Amino acid sequence: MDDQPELGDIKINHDVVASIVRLAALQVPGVAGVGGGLTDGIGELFSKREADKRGVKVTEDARGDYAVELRIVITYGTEIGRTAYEVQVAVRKQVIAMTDKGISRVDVIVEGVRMPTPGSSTNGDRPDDLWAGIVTTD
Amino acid sequence: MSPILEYILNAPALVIGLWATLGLLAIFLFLRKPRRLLLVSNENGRLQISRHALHRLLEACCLQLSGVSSARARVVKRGGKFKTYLRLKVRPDAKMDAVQGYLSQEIADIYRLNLGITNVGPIEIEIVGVVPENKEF
Repeated sequence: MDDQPELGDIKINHDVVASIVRLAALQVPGVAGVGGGLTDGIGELFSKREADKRGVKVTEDARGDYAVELRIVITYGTEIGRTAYEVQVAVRKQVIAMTDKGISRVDVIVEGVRMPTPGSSTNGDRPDDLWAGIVTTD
Repeated sequence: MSPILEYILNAPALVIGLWATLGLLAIFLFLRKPRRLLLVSNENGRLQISRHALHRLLEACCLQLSGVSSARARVVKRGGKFKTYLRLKVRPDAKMDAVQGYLSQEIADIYRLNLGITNVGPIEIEIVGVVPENKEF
């Protein structure tokens, strides 16, 4: 930015970061979903928040680093501590890779437990599902 | 004057008081911080579990037993220890001593190994009903 100041700043909306966080968390084995608490449900009814940001709160500190709070639903039988650590690592890695900004902390809150359904993968709400309606085959 | 304003002005104090109480209750419920249990806190961030998720985790553990039809869990932190209450509905073929032994061990393991909680209190199991099995034709 310093060598070409006339180009201006690049600002990334926190909603975009929240979407990155959500998708990164959903790729971790043992995470059945993101968000879905009562507050989220009521909030969505009144605020028209999009589904891909629910369960994620992103704030920015004075240094410009992101602080993330993430509410997840885990699959029964997975080790909570390990899964949460993997979520923290995945979120940190993905956000830094895509935004080139630091992350001060990733707070993980386990909001629910889901039983694994027979015949399905451990991740019931995988990111691939989001694109199922628009993927076309040649 | 709008009908709503007219209604409020003419309504008796009891009705206004009732609506005000309901409104305050709704605001309280909406703003109330959910009770969460802090499991880990380090430089990477914190790991917390909501009381609802903890209850669901314990109930899911109970439902792994074929003899258990339904389960309700409640956890109370008293004197620094986590006291667990389980209310179960069992099937007629359930062996109570086996259910009690298995659940005591499994739930203690969930606390210690999965959640990292060492100060586990007593686990009280109460059988509140027997659910007959569905007869298959």
